[in-house]
This record gives sequence, C-alpha cells and structure tokens, in this order.
Amino acid sequence: MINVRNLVKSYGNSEPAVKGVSFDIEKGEIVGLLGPNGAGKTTIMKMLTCFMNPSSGTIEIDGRNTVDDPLYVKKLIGYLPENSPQYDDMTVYEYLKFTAEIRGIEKTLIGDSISKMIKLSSLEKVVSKKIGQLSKGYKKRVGLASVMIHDPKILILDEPTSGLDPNQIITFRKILRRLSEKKTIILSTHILSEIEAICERVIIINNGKIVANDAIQNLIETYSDDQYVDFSVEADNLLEVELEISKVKGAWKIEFVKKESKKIFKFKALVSKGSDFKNNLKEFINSKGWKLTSFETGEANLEEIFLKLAGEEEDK
Amino acid sequence: MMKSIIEIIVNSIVLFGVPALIIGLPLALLPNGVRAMYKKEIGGYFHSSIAYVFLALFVIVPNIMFFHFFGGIFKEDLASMRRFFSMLPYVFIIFIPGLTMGSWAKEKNSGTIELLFTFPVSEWQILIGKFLAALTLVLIALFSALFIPLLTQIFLGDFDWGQIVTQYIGVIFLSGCYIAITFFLSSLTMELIDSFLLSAALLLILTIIAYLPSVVSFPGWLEWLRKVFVWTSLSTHFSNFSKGVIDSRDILYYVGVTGIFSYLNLRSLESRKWS
Amino acid sequence: MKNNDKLTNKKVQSWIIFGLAILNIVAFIVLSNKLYFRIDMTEGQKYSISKATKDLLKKLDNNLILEYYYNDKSKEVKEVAQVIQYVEDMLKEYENAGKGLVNVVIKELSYEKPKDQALIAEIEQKGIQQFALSESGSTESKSLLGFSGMLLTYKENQSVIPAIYNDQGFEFRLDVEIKKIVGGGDERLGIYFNAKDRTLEKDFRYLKQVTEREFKNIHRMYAGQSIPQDVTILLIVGGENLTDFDVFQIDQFLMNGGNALFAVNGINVLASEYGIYGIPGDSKVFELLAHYGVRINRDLVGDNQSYNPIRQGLSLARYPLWIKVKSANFNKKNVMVSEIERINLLWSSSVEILDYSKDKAQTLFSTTKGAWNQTENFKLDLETYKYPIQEGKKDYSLAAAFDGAINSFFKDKAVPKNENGEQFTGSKTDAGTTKFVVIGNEQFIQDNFAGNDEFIFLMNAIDWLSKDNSLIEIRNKGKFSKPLDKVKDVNVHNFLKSFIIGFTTYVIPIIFILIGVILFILRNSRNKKIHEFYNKDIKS
Ligand SMILES: Nc1ncnc2c1ncn2[C@@H]1O[C@H](COP(=O)(O)OP(=O)(O)OP(=O)(O)O)[C@@H](O)[C@H]1O
Ligand SMILES: [Mg+2]
Repeated sequence: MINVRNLVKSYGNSEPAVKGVSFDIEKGEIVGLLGPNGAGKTTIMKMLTCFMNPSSGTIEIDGRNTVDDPLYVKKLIGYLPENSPQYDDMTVYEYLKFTAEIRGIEKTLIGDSISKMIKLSSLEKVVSKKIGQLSKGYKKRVGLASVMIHDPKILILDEPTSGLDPNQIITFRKILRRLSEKKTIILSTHILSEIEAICERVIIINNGKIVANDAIQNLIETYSDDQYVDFSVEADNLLEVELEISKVKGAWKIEFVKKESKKIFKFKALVSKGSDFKNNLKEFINSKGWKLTSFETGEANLEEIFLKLAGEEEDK
Repeated sequence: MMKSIIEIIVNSIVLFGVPALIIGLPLALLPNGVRAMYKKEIGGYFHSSIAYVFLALFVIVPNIMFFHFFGGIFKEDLASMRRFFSMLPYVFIIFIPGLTMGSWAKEKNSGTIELLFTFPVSEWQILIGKFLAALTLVLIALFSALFIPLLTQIFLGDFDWGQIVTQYIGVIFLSGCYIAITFFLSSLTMELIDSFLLSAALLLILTIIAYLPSVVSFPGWLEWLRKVFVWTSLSTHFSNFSKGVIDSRDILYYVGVTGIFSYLNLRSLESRKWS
Repeated sequence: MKNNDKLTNKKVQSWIIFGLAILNIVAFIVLSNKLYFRIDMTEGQKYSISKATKDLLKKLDNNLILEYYYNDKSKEVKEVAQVIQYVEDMLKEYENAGKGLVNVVIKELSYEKPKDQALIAEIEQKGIQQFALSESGSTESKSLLGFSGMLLTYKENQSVIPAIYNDQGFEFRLDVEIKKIVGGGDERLGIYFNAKDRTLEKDFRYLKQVTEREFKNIHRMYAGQSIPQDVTILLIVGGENLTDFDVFQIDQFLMNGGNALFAVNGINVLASEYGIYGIPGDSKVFELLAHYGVRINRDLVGDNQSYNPIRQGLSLARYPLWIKVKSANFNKKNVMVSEIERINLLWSSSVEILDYSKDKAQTLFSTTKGAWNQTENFKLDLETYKYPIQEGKKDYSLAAAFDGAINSFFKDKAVPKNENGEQFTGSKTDAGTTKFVVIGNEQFIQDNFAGNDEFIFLMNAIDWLSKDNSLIEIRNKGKFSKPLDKVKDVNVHNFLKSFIIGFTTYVIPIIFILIGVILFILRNSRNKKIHEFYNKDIKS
C-alpha cells in the first residue's frame, strides 16, 4: 500500500530533517511512528500526504507516486495534522460539512456521514459550538471526525491522542482497532504505551533515520536479552557522578532518575544480558570512593528499547 | 416615465445578471472543490463581522468622497457616475488589501493551510474558490452603489446606461486584478499586517505610477519610459471603462495581470512543496 | 542521485517554461496592441470617432500635433467643464486611431499665474480666443474669461479652433480643420446671391460665416461672370437678376459634373406699411429646374397642423404660412435630413418632382397631411389667416434632392449672349450626370429667421453635394450632457438630492448590518436545531 524509498527531505540548506528513510506498509496494518522531538515524524507524514515533495527518494501509495499523482493519493488519505488546525469561526457541524463537501462526498450522503462521525467521536454536545471555543481535546476529536468522514483507505494521524483525556484515549483506541480491519493507519506519537496498545508494528525514528522497524513483539524478543538496572550511588556531588558514571562499560545508556536522599542518587541503565556491567560498576564506584547502595534488575519494555535505540543513534 | 422604468428594470437585470454570471458560471461549471471553498470563504466572511464592517465602510467612505469631495453628481447636476468610478482604483488601494490580507496569511498562520492542501482538490480550485468569494464581496459593495443612478433616474434625470454597464464591467475586471495581486502578496507572508502593508504599497505604486509628478514631467528622451509607466498603471486602463468604452486591450491587460498574479500565486503555494 | 537529476531537470524545465511564458506575454502585448477592438457603449456612441475621421487620419503621413489649451476657470463652469472633459476624451480617441501619428498635448492654464498669462497671450496671437464665461447657478454673475481652444499643426501648416464651448459637432469641426491642413479639403464653393432686396453681407451674415468655416475658398459669383474652373459646388440663393448667360453657365456647370444647391423663392414676400404682399418670382432658374424635372411652384404653402404662430402683442396669432417641418416629415432615408428635428420655413413654395425624373429625385421633407397651397391673391396679412381659410387636404413636398443623368437645357438651343462680359467660346455639353438640391425658399437661412437646424441642413446638403461627403453624419454629433432636470421645483429637487445621498451613503450600510444581524439570528437558530437534533438522538 505504502512504499517509501530513500526518502530525504532538507529544509533550505540546513542538515536534512529526513535522511534516507525506506519502509513499506501493507494494507490493513497499523503502524506507529515513534521518535523524540525533532526526529522527523511530522516531516515524513507531510510528504506522505503530498503536502510536501521529497528532496529525493520516492513515495508510492497504492502504486502511485505522490509527486506525480497527488490528487489520486490525496483521495485515499485522511490526514490529521499535528495540533489539529481548524477553522475557529466555524461550528463543528459546519466544519464537518465543509470537509465532506470538499472531499467530494455526494450531496445525499453528506448528512449521514456527518451524523456517523458525530456519533463516533461523541461530539453531540458541541455540534453547534464554534471550534474556537472548544477545549483542546474536543478539537482533536473534531479533527479525527473530519479526517474519517470520507472513509479513507489510509489514515495518517500526527499525534492523534495528545491532549485527549484517558476515557477518550480508550474510545479512540477502540475506534482505531475497529477501523483497522479495513484501513491502513499510520500514527505518530511520543507515548510508548499508545503504540503498544494499538500498533502491530512500530517504526522508530531518530534524527531523521529509521533505527528500528519491526513488529512490536519481534522488537521485544530481539531485545529481550536486554534488561534495565536500577541502582543508587552514594556520593557527595551529583554533577560529578552524572559526568563520570557514563564511562562505565557494559551499558547502553545510563540516566539519572532522582535524588533518593541528599547524598543518594538513583540511576537507571539499560544493559545487555550477560554483560559484566555489575562488576564494572562496582569497580568504578569503588575506585571513585563512592558507594553502591542498591542494585536491581528487571525486564526491558518498549520504553527501554526506545531509549536504547535513540541512544545508539546519539552515540554515533 | 413608463419607458424609463422599463429601461431601469432591463438595465438592472443586465447589471445584476453579469456579476451573477461571472461568479455563478465558474461555480456551476467548475468542480466541487471550488464550490466548497467558495461556500467556506463566504461563510467565513459573513459569519464573522469582517463582511459587514467591510461592506459598510466600502459604501460609506467612497460615497462620502464621491458626494462631498469629488462633486458627486449633484454639484453639476449631471447624470453621470463617471467620477465615482474614476475614484475606485484609488479606493481599492486600501479596501481590497483589507479584505484579502488574510486570504493565505491567516491559513498559514493557523496551520489550516495543511488541511487545505491535503484535501483531494488541486491548488487552483482552492484559489478560484477564494478569489470568487472575495470578488463577490467587492461586487456586493459596488452594486449597492447602483442605487445612486437608480434613484436619481427615478426622481431627477436620465442616465446613460450604456456607460454604467461598461463601468461595471470594467470594475469587475479591475477588482479581479486587485484581488489577484493582493492574494499573491498574502501568499508570501505569514502575518496579516505584513500582507496588508505590502499589498497596499504595491497597489499604490501600480495605481499612481503614471501620475507621479516626476513621471509626468519626464524629459523628452525618457518619453518611452513614461509610456511604459502609463501602460503599466492599473488606473490608466480603467479610464476607458469609466468613460463608457470597452477596449480589448484594457480587458487583456486586466485579465493578463490577474492571470499572471494568479499563476505566481499558485507557484508560491507550490513552493512549500520544495522548500 | 537519480532523484536529484530529476529535480534539477524539473528546475531547468520550469525556467524554460518561465522564459517561454515571458516571451509569450511580450508577443501577446505587441499583438494585442495591433489587433484590438473598441466598443463604445455610451448612448449615441459618444466616444466613437466616425469612419470618416478614421479615414481622414489614415491619410496622415506625418505627425499631426493637436494642442488643446483651456484655463482652470473654464473648468469651474459646469457646462464648459463637460465640454473640456469630452474634448480630452475625444482627443485620446484621435490619438488612438492615429496609430502613433497623432500627438495630443493637453494643457490646463492657470487664470492667475503670470507665466501662464504670457503663454495665453502667445497662443492668442495664433488665433485662439477667450470667451466670456457666465457662471450659472450662482446669483451674482461674475464675468470671467474662459479659454478653450485648439492648435493644429501638420508639417508647416497650422490651423486653429478658436473656441470650443460646445460639444455638439466637435468632431466635425476638428475634422474640417484637419482636412484643411492635411490637404484634400480642396473643394471650392461658388455663391450666386440674388435674393430680392437683400444682400449677402447684411442679411445673410451667418450663411457667410458658416460656409467660410468649412471652405477655405469661397467664390462670390456676379451676373455675367464665368464660373472659375476650380469651383465644384454652386450655392444659388435667389433667382432674380440671373441672366440667360448665367443660367447657361449653371447648366453647363452641372453638365460637366458640378453640383448645386438652389434656394429660390417661388413667391417673394414684401412687408411694407400697407401690409404683406406676395409677388410671384421671376427667374430663369424656374424653367431650368423644371426642365431637369424638379419644379419650384409659384405658390405659397400653408400647413394647418404645424406652423409657427406669430406673436402679436401679448397673444400668439395663427399663421400657417410659417411652416414648421416636423421631425416625422423628414425623409429618414436621406442622410442630409435624417437626423434633423425641425426646420422653419417662412413663406415657402412647394417643390414638385415631375414624373420623368421620379426615379432620380426624392423629397427631403414635406408638410403634414393637413396642408394647402395658395396660387393667387397673395395678400398675406395676419388677419387673413386668423381663422382657417382653407382646409388642409394633402402634404406638399418642400425640398428635393436630385442625383442622376440630365440633358442640357440648351441642347438644340443657341448659346445666350453675355451682356456683361466675355462670351462663351468653348463647346457646349449636351448631357451629364449631376447632383442638386432644390428648396423653394430663401428665408430659411436668412439671419433673422435661421437657427441651428436650418444651417445644419444647409451644410449637410453642401456636404452631400461635395465629392467627399463622409462628414455629414457627424456634423451634428454631440450634445451629450444629461442634466438632472426632471424636477423643476428647487426645494423638491434639493430634498430628493439629500434623500439620495442619505439613502445610498448611510441607509445601505445600515441595511447591510441589518442583514448581518438577521443572518446571525438565522445561524443561531439553525445551530440550535442541529444541537437539539443530535442531543435528542442521545436520549432516545
Ligand atoms: N518548516 C520547517 N523549516 C525548517 N526546518 C523545519 C521545518 N519543519 C521542521 N523542521 C525541522 O525538521 C526537523 C524535524 O521536524 P519534525 O517536525 O518532522 O519533527 P517531529 O518528529 O515531528 O517532532 P515532534 O515530536 O516535536 O513533533 C526538526 O529539526 C525541525 O527543526
Ligand atoms: Mg511532529
């Protein structure tokens, strides 16, 4: 359904925001785009939706190139931009009507599809309110309703759940799951649980590059020999510890978590199973004259994998 | 009396019919993207107070200028709207940018441009929809001025309706041209005020370029340049219309300028794709 | 990389397209300046210069400079301001039609500035005249000098239109002047003036002026003189005193392609202290014209339905012998008279087209159906006509135009002797083709009776007779101003004005705002309905 090859996008003369990304998405898949701020998720989505053209590389959607055949491609897609921009002067109903009309839905069907969307996103209470007066979450729901109104084959959602309340997130997930039987969905988010809950596959992006592209289950399996380690160090100066501790060999990443007391600092490290991180750590701490007060290991979850992958990138 | 009433009716039908056709035909014939866009824009104007402030000012200000400063039709008691129309290129310098400054700048500013250009319609449909909506508003204001000759004809004396029809035809071209120019400039900017100032400045230059004192008194060897300025000026091409003569060159000029700026507008909108 | 190539390719392509577009635009501009059309939508084609003018301008092979000067004070008088605007507009049209060969200079001069005063003095030297402005509307009438005139220059030739304060006939006047300096207006008019008891200099001054405006060369003919070679049109006013030799000359002039206008009274009217009497005219011209097939009857025509009453003390007296030719009775098919609204004919004789020239001659204008004629007993005092003395039975033709072949009156006759000068020596011509106009009246162009329309008819007729008769149609063009004069009462007039200003300036915006309020309310109620609709759904 979606084939992306060597996608590069640079804004002006600065360093490219997307640096040679390739992936394929099959019909009916739900794929999450995951990455820290500035990774290039939005940029990729803008190119997928024909809002922008790639600087190089190709995107084919349903076999058509986005640059050569934007109208065809746009018909297939419902795109919810980041922050869900809308026309503030319009009421919800008017806005849904407008999107239905401009998407070429037949006149006789417009009423029905609006009603369906209103029900789907539970917008009944606000149908006649101006969008400008809605809360952020409602705005998002209006946005979601508006991109699904024409029953598109592909949904591209840029941070669809940010700003929704937990109830709404759950309904939203339900909706997506129901839709996923017929639709291809790409969504971006910072929230890992989101991806775990909805997506079959995740594409992790950092600094314009794909660092992982796999089914979530596979990812967990691949990195299942990874574990995280919580440990605490007793020392005088936090700053010094933070600076020095990264020199310990055998961990992907060591992060400061919190101060447990005035002199005890809690850290978290991502560690491959079987590495002698524990020993290295002990040696290092002793050599510095600090004290290791606790050390616990646990299974890695996606969060950790994400951290690790993102870290990998930064190390290079 | 009977004859003149019939004449008024016939002329009003012609006068209101022409703009209805000019706006209605594209709406009826062009794809639904244009129609949806047009509806949205018109709604945008009329649901906020913009339209009413614009319309009210666009009637009050030119009329006051016309009747109180330019002599109107009553100082000399002659049935002619010529002064009114001769004034319009200058009035437009402020009013059209005021109306159209938001056309693109606002969409860019609020991010809705991302919606617009990911809808399955081409850029030109969106442009034409917006263009026709702005034109509609301008024409509503201008056609309300038709009450001046209509009432005067009923009470005071006969007008040359051929001339008035021509003036209105001309003003449709003129406002189309101004709108196209300001649309283009609006597409270059993010802020309303930038868009307004830029548009007003460019329109001012293009409108008065032929009448600047230094241009008028160009030495003989610069005559060609003066001619170029006269040809370029937006207002010189309106003088034929305002006296009642349709010249194909004026129409071509206005259609050409409108076309060129609309083309540039599309290019500048497309440039987002390559930025 | 491939993609980059594609991109640069695209860029190059778009530059090429851009270049081509620019080229196209330039070509388009050039082309559209060559091939264009203008449609004049104004009533009466106010701003269309006529074909005659265009043809005239096509003849130019050098720059024609048209300088138009007016002063600011003239522009303050509304009638003149209109004219100035019109002249400016028309000059632009000339510039347009001149394809680069007509240079128009328009200058507004200040009434007060000394510098401009010097310039005015200079221009006045060349023949432009100041004229008195009367400012209408204001109670006190200031006497100011207006100034609105044109200088025309073509090669070494110069000519002027001294004062333009009337838009009527402007194009015509300008064309005539252009013709004069461009050349081609080389026709010469000859005038035989033989009206009984009157002189051209005293009683027909306007006739002189009007003809001189259009003809550089006017030749005054006297009895016994031979007609100069270069005279192409003869104007024959009155037939008394024409000798046999003169008639012979006129005949030969016509045989050789010359054209003529005959304005001759069938009955000459004398007003004396004993009353008004008519005396049948006595002229050889009558015979000559009758021979050609257009006869001036020795009668007086009265029209019971359309005449000019005579003012007698405080009342108006009936006087059907002063015929007023009505607009409907002009021959609309003939350009000479088709646009004329009325002509006054005082003591006119009827003109009759004889059977054998029916297909060559046509009536120009005639009386109404309620006319009669009087062939004897010409006692013409007012009292005689106080009550209708005759019933009007039919219409009488009052002027006719002839165009076609004729035989000489002197065919098979001897050439008359000239008693006043040289004898005819050449060989006489017996047949030819000609055009002439006949009207059975002299007074209609006499100073104290003639008005604008009469002279327009006269000059139209002369144009028709001249070889280049293209200007006839535009002579009368103008009179475009449209006054607001439906309401005569000043107070009502002013009230209506304030009403219109108030309504269009303030009421319409209020209407707009009201419409806004209505739309707002409608939108709200619609929103309410939509809200209820969806929320009812929920409950049920
Ligand atoms: N219009 C623009 N002009 C210049 N640079 C831009 C533009 N938009 C984005 N960028 C840059 O491109 C990079 C990727 O931005 P992008 O918005 O795609 O990130 P993102 O993954 O969506 O981040 P976030 O999670 O914050 O939304 C960033 O470094 C950003 O600064
Ligand atoms: Mg983003």
